[in-house]
Amino acid sequence: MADTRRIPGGRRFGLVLSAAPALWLLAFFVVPLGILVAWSFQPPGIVAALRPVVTLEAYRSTLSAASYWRVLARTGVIALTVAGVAVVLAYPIAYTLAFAARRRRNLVLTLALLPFLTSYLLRIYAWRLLLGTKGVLNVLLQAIGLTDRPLPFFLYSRTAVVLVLIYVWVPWAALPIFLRLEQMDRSLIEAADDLGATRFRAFLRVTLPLSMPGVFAAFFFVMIPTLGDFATASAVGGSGGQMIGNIIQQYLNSLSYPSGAVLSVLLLATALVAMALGARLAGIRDVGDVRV
Amino acid sequence: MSSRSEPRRVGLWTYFWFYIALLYTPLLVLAAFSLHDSELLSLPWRGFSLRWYREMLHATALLRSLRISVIVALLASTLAVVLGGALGIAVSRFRFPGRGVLLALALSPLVIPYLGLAVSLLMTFVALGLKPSIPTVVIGHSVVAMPYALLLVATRLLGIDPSLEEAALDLGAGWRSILGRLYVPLMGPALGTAFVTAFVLSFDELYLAFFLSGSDQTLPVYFFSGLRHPEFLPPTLALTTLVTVVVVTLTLASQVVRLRHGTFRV
Repeated sequence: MADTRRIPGGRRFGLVLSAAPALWLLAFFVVPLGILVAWSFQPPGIVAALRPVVTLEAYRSTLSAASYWRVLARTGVIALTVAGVAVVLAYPIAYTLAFAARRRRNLVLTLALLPFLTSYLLRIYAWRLLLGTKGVLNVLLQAIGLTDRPLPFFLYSRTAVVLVLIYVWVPWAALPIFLRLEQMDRSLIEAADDLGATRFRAFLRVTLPLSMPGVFAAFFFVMIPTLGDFATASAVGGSGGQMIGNIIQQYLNSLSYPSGAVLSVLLLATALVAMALGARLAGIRDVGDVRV
Repeated sequence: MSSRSEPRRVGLWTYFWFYIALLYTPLLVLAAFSLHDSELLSLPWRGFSLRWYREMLHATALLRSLRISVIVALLASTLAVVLGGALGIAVSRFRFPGRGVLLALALSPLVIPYLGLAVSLLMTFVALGLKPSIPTVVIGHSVVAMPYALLLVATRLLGIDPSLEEAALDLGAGWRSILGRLYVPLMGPALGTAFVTAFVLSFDELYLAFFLSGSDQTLPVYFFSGLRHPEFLPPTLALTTLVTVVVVTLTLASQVVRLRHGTFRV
């Protein structure tokens, strides 16, 4: 880093450069979050504008209703499940990519990353087509003879939401793990090799622990957006697969801003707690990080 | 070293190709349905037809949403790269009061659900009397794209030899010319990647756009609302498939060009 204390104007230049971005973030990130909190302290109902009132009524009516806790819990479970399964499924992909021979590496990397360029909604919708009663899966099952009627439970259920979300997120989860595995010092594995460890043992005792920060990063980068998802739930969830995002959307549609704000605050608070937990876990589990 | 790992490699590669197949099959099925000669996007199959692609060319609302998506993405990416890039330079190269807090703040959009930000921005704009429209979406997208630009630029700069700067300073250069004639040229590829990343992010983004675009629907919002109105879906499907094909082709083409001309950098 440039020694800004020695060179005149360095410190000030840093401030000048960061002024516009800082103001932008303040105006369009910090202040809006504050306004969100302010709305959550408004009396519940269909309100057109912020009034100079502070009340806990919106929180009280929300937190005392069991139905909201149920949805929140369901959302949390979905998010945890999706993140966990996605990370487990993505790990071998990341591993294959990281240890692939140079020659094939570019091609397979492109192949694996290409889905990022496809529309998220398209991928959700594809599953709606496949899983519907007149969809490809049902037709296939009937053709093979495994069933004589179209099965309706593939779609519009909590399971459908979980499955589709896993499908959407696995490529995304593979990325942090891949980056971490790629940067890893290979000579450590060779050392384990020289010391007589089997491939599997070397993986278990060297590679896996060292890749944990990437695994945790992947877990949280999947879990946090999933908490706020409403598109998948809306497309394939039916009434059993509603997530908190759907309820927030409904409130905002009907202009019940205070109630929507309360749930949004809860959502953000949950995400924050998850992040704090995650940072803690990553700190404890960071075994032998050999980067200087 | 490789001979001992061959059995395991076979297992891993099988898993990989199975994963690729599973990943792409739904998309191929969808592409097939965009050529389906029926407005029912389900079996039984009624034959191939290009009618949806033809209809797509006349679907004004659909094409409008495409145009809006492009405009929003261009504007948001520019903002993200300029603001995020400036911040990336500032935090990676200088010490100034508030640096740590600002960095944490700038990176936090990466770890919050966009829905929360979308709702708070909507409420803010409503309080200010602004209706959701193109500018509001652009603002929302710029905030969430900034961290990517920041990280790409900062990472690139941290890898630059500090003696280059010291040489420039010794030769009497002011910070502004160091910025323009040293940093920016060296950061070229990083800025390009940042722009593309932000563009792709904005183009496909649903949550912020859903709440902040109002009647100026972006393509994902249009698609999403279309899920409730099956009659709009086939032309939308055709367009989205077409966009995907174009994007994929461009990416593959640029990969081929890169391979021909030199090193591939992840």
